[in-house]
Amino acid sequence: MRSMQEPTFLILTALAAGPQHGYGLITDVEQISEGRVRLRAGTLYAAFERLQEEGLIAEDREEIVDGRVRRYYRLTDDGATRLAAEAERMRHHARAASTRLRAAGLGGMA
Amino acid sequence: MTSLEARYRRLLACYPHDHRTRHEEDMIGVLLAGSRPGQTRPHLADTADLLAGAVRMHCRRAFGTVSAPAWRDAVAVGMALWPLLILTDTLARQIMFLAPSIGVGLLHHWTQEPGSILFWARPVIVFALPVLAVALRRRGVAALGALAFLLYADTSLLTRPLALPNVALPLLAQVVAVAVAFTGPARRGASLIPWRTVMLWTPFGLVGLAASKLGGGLLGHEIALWKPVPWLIIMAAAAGYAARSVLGRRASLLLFLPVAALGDLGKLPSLPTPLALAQIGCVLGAFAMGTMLRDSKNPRKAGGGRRTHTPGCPR
Repeated sequence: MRSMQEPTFLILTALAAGPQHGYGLITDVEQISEGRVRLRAGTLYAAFERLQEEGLIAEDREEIVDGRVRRYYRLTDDGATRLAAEAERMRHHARAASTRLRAAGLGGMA
Repeated sequence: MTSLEARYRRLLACYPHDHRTRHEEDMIGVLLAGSRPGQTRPHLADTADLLAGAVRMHCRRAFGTVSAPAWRDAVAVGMALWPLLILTDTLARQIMFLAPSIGVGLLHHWTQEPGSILFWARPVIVFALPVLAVALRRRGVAALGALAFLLYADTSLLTRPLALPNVALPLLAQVVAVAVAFTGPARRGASLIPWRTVMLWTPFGLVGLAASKLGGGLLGHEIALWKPVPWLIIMAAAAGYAARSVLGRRASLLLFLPVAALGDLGKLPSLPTPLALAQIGCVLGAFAMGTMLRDSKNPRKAGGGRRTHTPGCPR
């Protein structure tokens, strides 16, 4: 399975907490990444389309706010499975890196 | 509407129509929510991101997995049209072969020796059979076409210098025309082709191809440099006409180079720059005319399947 790009991983992680709309998701991703990743609308909606095509997310509901449609997206079961697999893969790699750095006494790891 | 919103909408106009219909309001909401108070112009990074997103979406529709069936259909249409293109090419060649002797003398000759008509028409009959096979979806006719081609080629194949590209490639094009008549995709493609429209374009194609095959000796040097242009113009106009539909623009893209090669492109690659630019201008103008012709003829269907709400529909 192909590894996931960081924005995709963060979008799926944000949606794992529950359905979100576009702007809510941008702020949540910024929070999760501690301000390192700020998604922009063009990137976000291209990702929405791709992830919907792959069946990892789906449209949840629509609301009208200030006369505009606000669409909510949710994580699908396939998306949750894929996110869990990716998180496990990353955890495994992080553990391996930490173990080796610790063994070599490098990187200032605790 | 604020000036910022109007500017965002102008940027969103670059997105595919179906995406805009479904997501424009949502995206505007996100963009405005992320803007600073008093901001009147989109941030440069947002502009670049929106334009890059638009390109990604157009590419996904044109080449992504969602467009695979449309590409399969376009290949099928290309295969179904190829025998007709070879027949048109053959007919153009035979007309030009006959051109110098057209007149009362030729009629007299044909009346005296009816067999000579058959001699002249032989290649036309040979390449009409694969067209019939595809149009009627009959393998038997395809087999008859293959047999006729073998008998026809037998007399000339051995004498041709097959190592030369200008001999081998036309022969390959003919073999492909005979072979595709047996295939399922070509028969399926035949059911996707608007034959009436194709038949309306074919005489123009014949004229263009015949013009491209005019003997250089009959023309002045300056005119000879323009002789491939009528064929390219007709081809570009037909491509423009077809390009308004999902299937048509893919088929046009696939067929453009091989079909251009059917004409005698002569010295096109080594033209002086101003002349080359003038000829490219003619071809682009013809393409634009073709798209407008389709629009004016059928304004309601001008979108050619674009005006759908299916997310990620092929473009």
